[in-house]
Amino acid sequence: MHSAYGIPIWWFLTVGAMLFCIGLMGMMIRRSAVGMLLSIELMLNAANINLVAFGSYLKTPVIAGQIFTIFVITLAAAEAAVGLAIVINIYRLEQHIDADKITAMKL
Amino acid sequence: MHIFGFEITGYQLAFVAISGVTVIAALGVVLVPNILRAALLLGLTLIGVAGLFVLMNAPFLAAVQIMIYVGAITTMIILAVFLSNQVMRIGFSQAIYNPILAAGAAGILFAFLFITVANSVWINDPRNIIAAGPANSDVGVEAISRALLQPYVFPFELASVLLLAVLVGSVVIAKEDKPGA
Amino acid sequence: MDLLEFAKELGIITTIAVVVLLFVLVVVLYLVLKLRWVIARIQSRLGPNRTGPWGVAQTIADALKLFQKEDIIPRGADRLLFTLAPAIVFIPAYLVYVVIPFGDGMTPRSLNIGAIYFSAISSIGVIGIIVAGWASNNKWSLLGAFRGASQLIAYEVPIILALAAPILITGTLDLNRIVQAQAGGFWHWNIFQGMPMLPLAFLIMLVAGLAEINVAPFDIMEAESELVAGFNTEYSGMKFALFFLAEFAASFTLSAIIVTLFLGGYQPPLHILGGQVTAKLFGVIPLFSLISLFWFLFKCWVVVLGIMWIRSTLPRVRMDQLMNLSWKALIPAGLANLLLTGAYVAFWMAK
Repeated sequence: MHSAYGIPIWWFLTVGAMLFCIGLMGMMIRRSAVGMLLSIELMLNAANINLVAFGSYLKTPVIAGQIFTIFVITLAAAEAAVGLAIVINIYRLEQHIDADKITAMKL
Repeated sequence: MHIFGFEITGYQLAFVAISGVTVIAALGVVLVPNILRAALLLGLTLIGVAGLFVLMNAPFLAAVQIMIYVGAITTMIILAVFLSNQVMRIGFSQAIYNPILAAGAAGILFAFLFITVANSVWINDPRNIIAAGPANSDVGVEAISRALLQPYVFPFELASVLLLAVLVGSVVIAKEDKPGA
Repeated sequence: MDLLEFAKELGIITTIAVVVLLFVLVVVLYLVLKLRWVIARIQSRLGPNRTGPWGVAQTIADALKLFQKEDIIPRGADRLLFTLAPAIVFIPAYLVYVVIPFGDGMTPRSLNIGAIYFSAISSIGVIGIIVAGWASNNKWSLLGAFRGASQLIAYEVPIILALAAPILITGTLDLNRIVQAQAGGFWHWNIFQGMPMLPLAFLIMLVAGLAEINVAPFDIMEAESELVAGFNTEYSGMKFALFFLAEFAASFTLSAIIVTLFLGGYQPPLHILGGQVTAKLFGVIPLFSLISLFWFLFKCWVVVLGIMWIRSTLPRVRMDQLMNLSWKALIPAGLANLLLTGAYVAFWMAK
């Protein structure tokens, strides 16, 4: 039989915070659109870690944390698919995907 | 087992190892200029996150994470990297102040979050230990499926409609315009 | 768990991992030989019969040949990724063995999410193939890798849909328990339950599995007449040996999963053939475990023989036929099967 894990909840929350901040930094410094998508995935995973941690560390663990996470994973997949389709389209139009240079919709 | 007066369990070691891999791979995702290697490091990060899910008593979620994120999304990202070939030569933002500003902002945010989280008094116990369930119980998977079909059936169905829309939409967006079609 | 117990557990797991790795290597050794003999027999000729008595040393000779080949890395190729790709393909193919019940109480780790662990881990290999195609710095390898990736992704879905049928019937994801639920005789095996849904699921899993492991008639990815050798073209020596190993290990994995889910796993076909043995060998090793290991290996051997038979007789399908088969035939069939199995479990199965 298993005994207690011994991992306090704030360890998981710290890892989530680290991933989120790293993703945020990536979002700001990456110029290519695919790079930004990678950073967004990191931020979504950080949110997932937090959700599951809060669901599991209650006095009686609640399944809602994991359910919410399943939906976040689904939505992240959907958003990555559409985002990448748009990236491919932009590449066809402009022959590059440098986000600093795509200014066609600027006023 | 007591080392230096602290009690260390094996799970804590596993946590440190897995989260170390995750965070270092995440730093690699963000800092490596070659987008293909960044995508592969993202795959490694996601596997690490799946490991963290296992440590939080959510094994089904870990398997779903690997199947969807690593098996599907990472593959998709890599294929998109190949289809937009110039990508590997784009590096980082050219403005000198931008990396410093970004690192500074992220660092401040992280410090804020960390101080909040580490100093909070979490319920139940100063060290807030969760007890692992019985070794081979199906309770986790059964609880998830029951929850998806009873309280959360509406978001479940909505998610499937959304996925259908995304399926059709991304094919339409990414299709090549054939001349005369 | 205490640190000491953790270290002990780690030691046990490492030993089991090494034993399973050796087992996989021995199985691949035997399978390569068996494949060549079976193909030869079907083509009315003798297989390898010169190296060693009756040719049994053929695989060892092949392995030695591969070891001593020069390790060429093409100019302009991404060295790190080129070296890493075979590992990314082989490691998931080997990790799947954690959940397979080799015998009674002989599952390396009986995870309670066994079936979904299997599908999750086997979906990681696709990345390795794409990276292998790219890292070769070769247009044709890249094309071969794209084709291969689209084939593998297309056939993942029917496998998961076919997997769902025995899981619904048994009510658990744990592969060990699925095998235990098929005890008592071959009429209890999952392939005979819930007619006609489960036999259909068996067929879907077989066909989709053949496509997943790139066996003829779905071997566009590695056929010599297609793009030389696809993503494999620039690989030589040990790296090629790893791809080769992964492919044969995958065919044994597929047959192990089919046997576990549909053909009763390690259960003997008739109770008198070993199902009632409770004696212990030397007072310690339960005899039933050894008997069940024998039955598992025997059934896997039969299924692998069937796969080799299919492999040596059917011609290769075209790429578009391949894609159509998956998206337009197997997935609708799998979905309908899932629906019908659910209805069967909900309304007809004895509670």
